[in-house]
Amino acid sequence: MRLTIADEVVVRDLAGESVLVHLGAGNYFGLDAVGTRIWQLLAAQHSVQAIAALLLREFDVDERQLRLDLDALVAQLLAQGLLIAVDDPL
Amino acid sequence: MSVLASRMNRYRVCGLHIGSALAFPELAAAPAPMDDSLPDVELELGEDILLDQSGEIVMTMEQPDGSPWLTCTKTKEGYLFHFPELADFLVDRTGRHVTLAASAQAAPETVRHLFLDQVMPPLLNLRGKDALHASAVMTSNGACAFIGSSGRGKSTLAAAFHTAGHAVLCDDCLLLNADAGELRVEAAYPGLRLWADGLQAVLGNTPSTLPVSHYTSKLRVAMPQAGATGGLPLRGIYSLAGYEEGDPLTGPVIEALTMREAFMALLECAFRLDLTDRAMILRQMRLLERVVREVPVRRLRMPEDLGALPAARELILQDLRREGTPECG
Repeated sequence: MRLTIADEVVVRDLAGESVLVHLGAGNYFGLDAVGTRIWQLLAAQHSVQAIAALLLREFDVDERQLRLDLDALVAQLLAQGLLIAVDDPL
Repeated sequence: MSVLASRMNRYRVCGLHIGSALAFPELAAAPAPMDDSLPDVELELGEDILLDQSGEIVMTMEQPDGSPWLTCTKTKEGYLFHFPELADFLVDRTGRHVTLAASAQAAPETVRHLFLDQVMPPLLNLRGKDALHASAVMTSNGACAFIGSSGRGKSTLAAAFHTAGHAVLCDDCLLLNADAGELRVEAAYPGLRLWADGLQAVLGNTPSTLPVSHYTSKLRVAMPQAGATGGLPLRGIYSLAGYEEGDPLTGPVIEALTMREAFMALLECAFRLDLTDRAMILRQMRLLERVVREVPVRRLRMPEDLGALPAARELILQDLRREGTPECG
């Protein structure tokens, strides 16, 4: 399974943070600087595991907490329809 | 002037010339145009507008008990605002024509309130305009707006500015105008809607009032028209908030917001009619982004205490002066 950005999402970059808006549903979601970095990595098609590894190199942060926060953010983005889980073709 | 045109009640709301079959004692009459031109928005009375008005629901609002308050449906003729047991408003796709069918049991002030405060603000979207759910006042530095959730004190704060001699621009709907290059704002219509205790405490016994609607004890206080046609420069937006649990604050405080926080606050209070209208959403986002890049948006934390209003007012005025914005003549 891989994650992909929903087609109708537009992003507003605001001084290193961002706001995502789903044009079809009209809902919106704010991301701080770290969340924005995660979104950029998701948009570049990195897996969650790869994103965790990259962030551990970029930020001085406890690995367990990072993974918990990353999983929580991904879950929120999926629930909002901003991110879509797609089955990998066999 | 044509006979039909001469029978219209004429007003100016949200920068638009309204021609109405309904009289609005809440509003000052606007003069009829000399050239007999049609109004920007016509409100006329009709019956049975629910016939064959099926379509996609684009907006709903619920009462505190979960029962429907408003259902807005996109129909082949336009947008139908359905307030159960009160009134229906059918707005055509251009936002130029509104047909009203009111329940015989609906209080007249309620029907007028629904049009002015629930239908007109989102109708602006159809005309390529965007507005904030905000109160606004005039200061020597320009227009200053207050946003925040219902009950946070936007109206009473505006009233506190009024008592210090600052004109109230609006209490509910502030139109954003970027047509002429500079970002300007225009009030929907002047006036305040206050609870009796706030009115008494801030304005005293002097103002005459009208009821807002049958379902609220808030009272309308008329204010003189302020601000030029075409709008005023917007110099600051303050998002009202209370104290957080455990906060040691004892008086009003102004806090900085990140651009992202400011943008989210404006998205929260922007009027939107049809969430499926992608062009409108994109337009609004571009405009709000421009607002947060050009206008200081801050958070004002204050206690739920009417006695704190003068201090909050002075804090805001100091903040505007500190921004170094030019004095308005």
